[in-house]
Amino acid sequence: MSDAALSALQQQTVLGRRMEIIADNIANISTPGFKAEMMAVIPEGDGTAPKDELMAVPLGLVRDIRAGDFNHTGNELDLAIKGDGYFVVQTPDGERYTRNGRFQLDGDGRIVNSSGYPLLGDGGGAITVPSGSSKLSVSRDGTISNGAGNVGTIGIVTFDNQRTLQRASGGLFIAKEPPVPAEKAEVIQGSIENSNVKAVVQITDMISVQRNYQRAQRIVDSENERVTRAIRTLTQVS
Amino acid sequence: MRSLSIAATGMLAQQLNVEVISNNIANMSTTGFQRRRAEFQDLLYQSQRTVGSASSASGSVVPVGVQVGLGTKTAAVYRVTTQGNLNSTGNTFDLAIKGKGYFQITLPSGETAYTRAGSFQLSATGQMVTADGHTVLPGITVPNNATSISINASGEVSVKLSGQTASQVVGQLQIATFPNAAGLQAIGDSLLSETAASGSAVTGNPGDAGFGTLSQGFLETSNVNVVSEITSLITAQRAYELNSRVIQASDEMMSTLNQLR
Repeated sequence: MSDAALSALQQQTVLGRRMEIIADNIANISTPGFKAEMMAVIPEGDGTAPKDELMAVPLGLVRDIRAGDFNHTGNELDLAIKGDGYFVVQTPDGERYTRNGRFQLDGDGRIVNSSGYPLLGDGGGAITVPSGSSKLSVSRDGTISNGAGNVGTIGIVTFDNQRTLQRASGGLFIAKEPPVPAEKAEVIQGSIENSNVKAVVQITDMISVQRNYQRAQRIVDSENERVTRAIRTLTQVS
Repeated sequence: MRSLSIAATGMLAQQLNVEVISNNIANMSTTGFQRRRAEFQDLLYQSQRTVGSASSASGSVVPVGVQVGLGTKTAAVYRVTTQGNLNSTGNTFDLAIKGKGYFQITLPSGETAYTRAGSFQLSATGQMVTADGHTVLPGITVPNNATSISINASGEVSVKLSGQTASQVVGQLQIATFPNAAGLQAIGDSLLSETAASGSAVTGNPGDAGFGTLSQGFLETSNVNVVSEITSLITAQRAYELNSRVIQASDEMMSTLNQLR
């Protein structure tokens, strides 16, 4: 196969993956705390290869770490983080980080997320609300009080490089580096951070993927025609 | 092409969202109904290029990997336990709870169920029962010759008997709270039952610390807010359409492939 056809096919593979990422972004348009991702594509090689040998390969995903819109729900354990920061939850596999602030109490009075993983306080332990507590209020620095006094403080952390966080299912992130306390983050009670997927961006991206896919297809087609014509011309015995 | 199935998970999720919203709207006028809310989570990820893996023999590492998510799933359908409005009915046995707590009801099976719908009546034997005839706990019997019945904010039921001027107390209503009231399971007929997620019931008199108070002659309306339901319905519908656009686009890409010569 010729280089032109190969590089068009390679482009189609990359575009197929981009389509999968767009599909995932759109599927998660109502997932609280979800962060959209885009594929970063670079020409293959370390930059020293001659230009005409370049082919597109997927390098990695770039996460859009901007905050989503805040949606006011009025629920006392719906929490949103204003500024850089993540909630810490304890899973059986270790600590995980999330921006999805939909919490509730479990049967033992601990504050847990929708998967039942406890939210950790600034000291590292789960936060337990004594039974018979009246309305909980959460201040901007994360202190939870129940009218009778403070029951704990939510630990909000951040990372020097948030893009190195790896995604796990359930809106959670796995960290490669130790977290640092988030200085500028504020907790907003009664609100939820929506997914930051922008429909218009995804749809325009999708259209461009679709059109590029068709264009790559035409390159393969015309390359095929060119080769056929060359064979026909060159094999004609005069 | 995975984008087809990824978009399908998105459509399924939005379909459930619309179902939850339609149930909320259908129960707009149900006494003591608490609206539900569907919550979604991202599905697991497939790594195609793992972050932090070595990219060369000299020890450089991949700074960001390629992880393709596989769509979305429903994490939970919550009951939102905010207070509904109190609607004045003037009926003696219409009770509304202001604040936390659930009325306790004995089911025919002997189990205890919980409800916020306080439209009670008297049975033939003078017992306080629900609209379906289940006894309200703890059983309260009103004498036949009672002329006026009053239930105060802390649940004390007192009656005035004919021919008497002083009223006398015939019982004390108790309500139950839960560590996680959202974890109660709905069993239909506006009733809820205890689960492991809700924790065990803590009973007490209305007005005690952590318990709500009673209002006689009022019913709690459903806490469904029509405006917010309609806007969620519009969002869900548009999100459904978006996902179907993805399916269309993936289909076109596959048909492009089929035309390959």
